[in-house]
Amino acid sequence: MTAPLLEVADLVCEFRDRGRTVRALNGVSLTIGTGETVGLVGESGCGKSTLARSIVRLLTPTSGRLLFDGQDYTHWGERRLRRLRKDVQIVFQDPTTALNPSWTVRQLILEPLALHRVGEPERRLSQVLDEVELPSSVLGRRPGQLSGGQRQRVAIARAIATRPRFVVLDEPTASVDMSIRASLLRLLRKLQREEGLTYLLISHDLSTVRHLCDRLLVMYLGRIVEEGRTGSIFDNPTHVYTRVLLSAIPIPDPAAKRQRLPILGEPPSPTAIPTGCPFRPRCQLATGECERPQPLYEVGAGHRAACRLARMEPLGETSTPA
Amino acid sequence: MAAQEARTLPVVGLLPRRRRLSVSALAGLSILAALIVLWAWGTLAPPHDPLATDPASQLLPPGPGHLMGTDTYGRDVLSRVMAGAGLDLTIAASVTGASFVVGILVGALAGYHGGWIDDVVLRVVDVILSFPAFVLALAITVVLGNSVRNVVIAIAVAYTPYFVRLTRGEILSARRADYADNARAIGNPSWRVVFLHLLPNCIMPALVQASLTMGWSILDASGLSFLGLGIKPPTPEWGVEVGEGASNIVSGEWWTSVFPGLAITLAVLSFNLLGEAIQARFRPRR
Amino acid sequence: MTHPLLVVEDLTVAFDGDPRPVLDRIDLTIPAQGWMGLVGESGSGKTMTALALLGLLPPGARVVGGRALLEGRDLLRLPPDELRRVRGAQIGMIFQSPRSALNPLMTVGAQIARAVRRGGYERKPERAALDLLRKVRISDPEARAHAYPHQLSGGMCQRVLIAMMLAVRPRLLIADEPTTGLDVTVQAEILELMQGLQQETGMAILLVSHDLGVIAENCQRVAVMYGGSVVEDAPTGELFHRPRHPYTAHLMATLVRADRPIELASLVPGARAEELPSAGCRYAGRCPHAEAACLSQPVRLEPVALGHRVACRRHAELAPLSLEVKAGARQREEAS
Repeated sequence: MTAPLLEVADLVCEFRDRGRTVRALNGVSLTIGTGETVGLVGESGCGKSTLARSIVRLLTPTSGRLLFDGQDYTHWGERRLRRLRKDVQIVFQDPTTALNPSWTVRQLILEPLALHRVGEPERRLSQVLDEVELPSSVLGRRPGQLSGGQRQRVAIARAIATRPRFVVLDEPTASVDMSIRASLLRLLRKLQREEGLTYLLISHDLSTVRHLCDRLLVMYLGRIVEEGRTGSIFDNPTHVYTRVLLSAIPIPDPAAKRQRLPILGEPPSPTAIPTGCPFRPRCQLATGECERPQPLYEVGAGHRAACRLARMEPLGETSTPA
Repeated sequence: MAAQEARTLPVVGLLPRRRRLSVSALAGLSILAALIVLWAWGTLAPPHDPLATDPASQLLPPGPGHLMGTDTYGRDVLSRVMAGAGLDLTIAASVTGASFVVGILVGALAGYHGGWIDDVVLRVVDVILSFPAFVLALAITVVLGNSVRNVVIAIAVAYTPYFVRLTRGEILSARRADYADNARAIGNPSWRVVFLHLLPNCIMPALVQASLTMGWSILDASGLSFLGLGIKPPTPEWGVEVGEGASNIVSGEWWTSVFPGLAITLAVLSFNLLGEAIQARFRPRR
Repeated sequence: MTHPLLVVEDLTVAFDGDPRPVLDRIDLTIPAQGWMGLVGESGSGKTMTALALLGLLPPGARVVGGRALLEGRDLLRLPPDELRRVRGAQIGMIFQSPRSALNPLMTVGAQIARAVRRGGYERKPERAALDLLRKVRISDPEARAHAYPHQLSGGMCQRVLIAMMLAVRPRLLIADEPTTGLDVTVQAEILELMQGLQQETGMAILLVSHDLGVIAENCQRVAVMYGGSVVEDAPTGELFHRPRHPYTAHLMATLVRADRPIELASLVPGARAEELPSAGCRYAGRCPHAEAACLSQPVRLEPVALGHRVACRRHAELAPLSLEVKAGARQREEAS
């Protein structure tokens, strides 16, 4: 097995917010290999955005390690990080706010090329524009003059201009209309093949994740509660939270069978993390054992879940419809 | 559908909304243009030497040869007003330029960096702003001495805090925007993030303030000279001229004060109108 | 089908000074019970339709034609205080940002109690308010009743609104993107509560949404909007499995579903930016089957089957085509 491209070891991220300590990441570990597309799913408050920002070092984690290509960049200063930024990029959720409104598209895409001293920037500029399927007429425009789908393509172009090796995609289709979602996903997949990219795709939308990702990580309250190959997780969700999450997704087919799993209580707050399994207070199947921290148990090949149910035989009915 | 999108964008862009100039802009620009013409005319071919006294022509009312009349010393008021235009506009430009540049730099630094730098800057700004601008300029001029240079310094010190506060406020909110994070994530060092990304979007209130400062600094400078501080006679400055001619109003020779006074009024008016026009034209899109 | 509750005919809305209407002869029939979906993308006019029915159009927008008959009375022509009474008692509304629909200066308990009093059902409104909070599954209702809207999450505010609807029991509930922006598990809960609300009161719900999953799970009938008109109106099963309008077909063909992987390469290419034609079918600029007549001749909703209407002049010829071809695929795309 080749060395992983990105490795995150036991990452903890705390902030102070109005006098209270918020623990957004509570010991997250993961590895991503070259060429993989790994999906990170979870709902608000689970820490996925914090994880994304930590990986690209927009934040400095409180403890833990981040390694890219074997190098520990957890505490690098801005100058060393600059070199890393040629290889590690991020696409934000909302291109309306993520692109500087007073810059033209041309300036936006040329900037990373200039910062990292890429040779023949003009040629790379038209190449990138072709790859994201935008006409050269957009070059002179500003983001406000483009449609939502076009803006997101510009954001993607800006991120891949320097030929990074690793791209974090933070909810890339959340802000675009449904009819454009499919073509954006197709574009992302095409870019991955053509440019040899490795993706970490963050989404609360499991349908997006199902189409692009080889592996999935399910997060809850700052911890990874389940991980494994996409197909394996959808076919055999093990952690109760994963089951609840999958059963909650609305399916655009009136004929599909649905069996919603109930969830207790209200969404949690990262200021008061429960001991043991973070999902315990909301879990219908919690027992006394769940008060102790649950390690990731093996469920199948490469499929692990931090839930006592992993140690049992898979149940007859699963939570995914059909 | 594009129009709807433009309506919902929450960030400020530098694009003007309409191509035609508004009434305020036209009025402001016309007055300013007139003053500049006066200045140029006065520099290149003034009707008379603004400093040349002529006891024989004392206090002549406006008429042919002396369109604005003459003052107590027989000097042509029109030529003096023209010369005053040059001096006052130069003072205005210097004060505004200095306080704008220093204010933006300090404000951006304080807003972006935060921490102790921000605390120190805020305290200094609070102290300066606790004095009325004119009083502060007065005090500084007294300390430094009477000269054009010192007047410029004094007034610039009084107005810099406005620019600091405005810029700091804008930077504080822009700093949180996704595009700021994006700029950092691309690999920009902090100074580029602040000056190339944030400032262009934050500069609008400072530009409006700059226009207003042009007008106010003329008022302050001429106020100081009227009181006998800062710029002294015989230097042709509007405030000096108003001061010299003040006593003549009682005796009926209104033109010695009124014309320079009118010039001050028009100058301030033009800058206020321009400030309003800039603000209206680059309104944030909501 | 039972007697409809609200019949909308030819509803046309335009902004002052703009010759092109933003809603163009909308026809809708909302049944007296159950859920009806109104689906479309941003800019399709679905929210504008909801606002027009409620008499809450933004400044500058005006109803320039059409009727909306609720039990024989035309909602669009009621005098303002009549309309307010109807809005309070007969038609309820839930919008996307629930917090802004609540009074920020009153506790939620007080607001629910007020709704109870208006509904006229209870002698002890405060007690009823607590019961309603429990019913919408808000934990610790005694404490929560004293909270202000800004202290509650979006999901909780939405539950409070549903509690108020339970108290008032309107005949029609208009819900405009009630769960957009909420987590998927919270969304599931809210929709479940709304199902309970509908079953208990027997009301009609008009669900306006861009999310086809939510629509498919809850609605018995769906109307699809594009560019300010209704293009298709059918029972949900029919709409999803046998759409007749090319736009609906496009939506169904490009759906990204979680429960089964679709080979992305075979999807139809995304639409290019279009200019809305001034006359004729609004979709003609983007439609792969458009003819000259489609661009110039106005098109109306016509029945094609029981309870199924389509606004497409070529619907008969296009009917036998497969879903993908109707949506615009020329043939199976080469894997890109």
